Amino acid sequence: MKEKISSIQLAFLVINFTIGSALIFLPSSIVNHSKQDGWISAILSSLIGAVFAFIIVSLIKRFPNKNFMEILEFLLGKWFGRLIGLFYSWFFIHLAALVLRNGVEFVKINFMPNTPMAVFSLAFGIIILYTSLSGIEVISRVNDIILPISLIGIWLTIILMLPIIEPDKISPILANGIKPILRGTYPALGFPFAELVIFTMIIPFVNKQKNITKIFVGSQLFAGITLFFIVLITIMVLNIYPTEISLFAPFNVARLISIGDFLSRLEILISMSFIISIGTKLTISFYAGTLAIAQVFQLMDYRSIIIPLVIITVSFSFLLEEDIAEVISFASTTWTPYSFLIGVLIPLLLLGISFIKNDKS
Amino acid sequence: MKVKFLKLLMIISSLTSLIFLPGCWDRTELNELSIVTGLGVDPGPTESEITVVYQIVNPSAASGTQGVSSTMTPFMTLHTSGKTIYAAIRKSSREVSRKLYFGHLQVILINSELAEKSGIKDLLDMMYRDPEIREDIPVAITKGQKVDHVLSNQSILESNNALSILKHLDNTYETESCSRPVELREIINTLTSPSAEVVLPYIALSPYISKSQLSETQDSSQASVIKAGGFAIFNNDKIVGYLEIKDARALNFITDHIEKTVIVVPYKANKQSIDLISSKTKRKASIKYGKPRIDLEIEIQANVGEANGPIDLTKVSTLADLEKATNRTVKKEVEDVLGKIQKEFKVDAFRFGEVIERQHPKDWKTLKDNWEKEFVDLEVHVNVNTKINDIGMKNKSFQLEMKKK
Repeated sequence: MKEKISSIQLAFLVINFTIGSALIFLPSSIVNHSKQDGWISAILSSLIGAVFAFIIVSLIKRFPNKNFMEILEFLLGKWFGRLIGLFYSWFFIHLAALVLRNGVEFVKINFMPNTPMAVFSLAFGIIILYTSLSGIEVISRVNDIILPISLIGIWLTIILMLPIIEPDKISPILANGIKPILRGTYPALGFPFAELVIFTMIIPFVNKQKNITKIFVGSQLFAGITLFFIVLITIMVLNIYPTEISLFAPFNVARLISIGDFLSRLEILISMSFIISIGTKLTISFYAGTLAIAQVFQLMDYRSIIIPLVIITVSFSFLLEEDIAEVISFASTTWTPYSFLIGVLIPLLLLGISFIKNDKS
Repeated sequence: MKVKFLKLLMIISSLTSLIFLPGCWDRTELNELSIVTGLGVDPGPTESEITVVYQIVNPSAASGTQGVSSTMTPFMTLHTSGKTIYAAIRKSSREVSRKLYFGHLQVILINSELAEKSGIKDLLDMMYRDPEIREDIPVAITKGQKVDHVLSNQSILESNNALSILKHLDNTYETESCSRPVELREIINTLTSPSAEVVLPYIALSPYISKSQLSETQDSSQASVIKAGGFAIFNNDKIVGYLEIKDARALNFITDHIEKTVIVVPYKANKQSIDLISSKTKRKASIKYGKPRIDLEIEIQANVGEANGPIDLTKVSTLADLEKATNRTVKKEVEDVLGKIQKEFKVDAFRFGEVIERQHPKDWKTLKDNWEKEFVDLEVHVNVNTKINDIGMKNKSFQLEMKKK
């Protein structure tokens, strides 16, 4: 493994990846179940997400010089390990296709309704083609530049919303007991926190593995806090029901910014952040997917399969789901158990096996 | 070899992004758009149809510099009818040469007749769903007059009538608080709330004002002005009654939407003007033996605006008396409107249900089902607390020293 990134760069990648598409889609998926207590669900899910992150990073740390596919082979045997590895490769590419679709729907519905979807998909496709060819070092360095821009967009929107928030919209707190809160936490666990399993492919690139647990969990928590504020502001501004029925609730919130009649129509800030973080999430998922496939099939260089995989991902992005209703129902029902299995249960199982194997030897 | 390939790829990708980034597929040239500033809905020519009214800016006339007398009107009002609002808007292509653009919409007007008979629910979804129309656009009712008629009226101060209606609503709210602009999103919020009912401001064209008050150059179409009314009170999505402008302020006191206003207070057989500068209403709910009760604590900060009669404002007791008199006046005004809405309209226009839900979520679950009846018998206690701070530039009233005859 020649390429190296620093631990700060990893933190930046984790933040941008976790915020990713959740920036726009998380509030409605949480508020749908937990109503005015959605902000509690947001905190709860990012805390549980920290546990997920901890599981993943502990697993990788036990095998310092191996990446995830090699760990799978080591723990599960050559053929079964590779089979599971193939399953993971599919998950990464599938995630990339879904994220791509989300980004495309956002741009298409809000800004360019008459443009064919393929145009945006191809534009994103060219980006992932170029970034994955350049490798993780380049991806991280680009991310170092664009993450601060994205965070400024998000936090500026949050600050500019403060004049019109109505804090009593979140009361009564805990009116319906703890159950709705847990129901709201559930989708947030699958999306975005269980998706952090993708970093099993990225963590081995970090040059100093010393503080990696702290940095990985810490940056996940930072992203969780940002998402919590987004959820809170959305509920306080839009109220519960409008948040539930809005496809892009935080975008609708940003449309309401109006300070002194001249500082208005600033929804472009949050759109910019969204495009940036979705681009990063897409790139990381796709890059991890190509690495995983190259490992499973023992290829000399992962670059040789990038072009066909880009074509596959771009076509998946509009073939897997026919319309926006399918995008929504897939994300709210199927996605959570699916990503939970891959992002939490299997890594936990692997961690257990690794302890047993360690005891034997 | 690889470097060359990457370079080539970079050149190709930057060139292709030139195609994608400007978004040429959805390009809309400015000279192909007509900017809609006002949108309104009237009853249609037949039962099953509605008429949509738009006010379109005439760019060449609107941008004309001052002093240049333009023969063109700065806007144009037209209307099309259709079975749904969306279909009616598309029919505008038969009347205008350009595509309508709703990104700069200022105000939405709904005809009162339509809102009384068939309700407003079928009008709102298109406005709420469309990406061009913003959710913070104020909505108003045109009482007893067609939107078409109201929008075609040329305002004297503003070149654009829709903008003038918007400013008018804002101005009434900010200086007298006897009306309030209600945004589109608030209507959706209220309609989906289990207890609260919609309240919308209404406007109407005044009768023609006398010709002599206008300069001669203005033609007769400019001879009437738009007047802000009070509130139209809804039951679900239909109007059940109107709260006149003199009562509308009390509703704003109850819902804590007072900016500034003047309270005329009787004191020592004269009328005094108390200039309210800020007001805060605390709404407390309590439940006793299953019966809800609302306590309104109105905190008013005010100045003396006008002291008539022989009044000495240097005395502390005078100000204290004025404060008490203000309390009484506001309390009576508020209680009158409370009674009127509770007994006459019987709809929760004050959002008391939400107050109870927020403060007593457990009791609300039993009250919720029967809220319409509970609201009518709801016990409401009003307590007003005025603090007068300033008295203007003079202390005693000059009438104190006036020759007594």
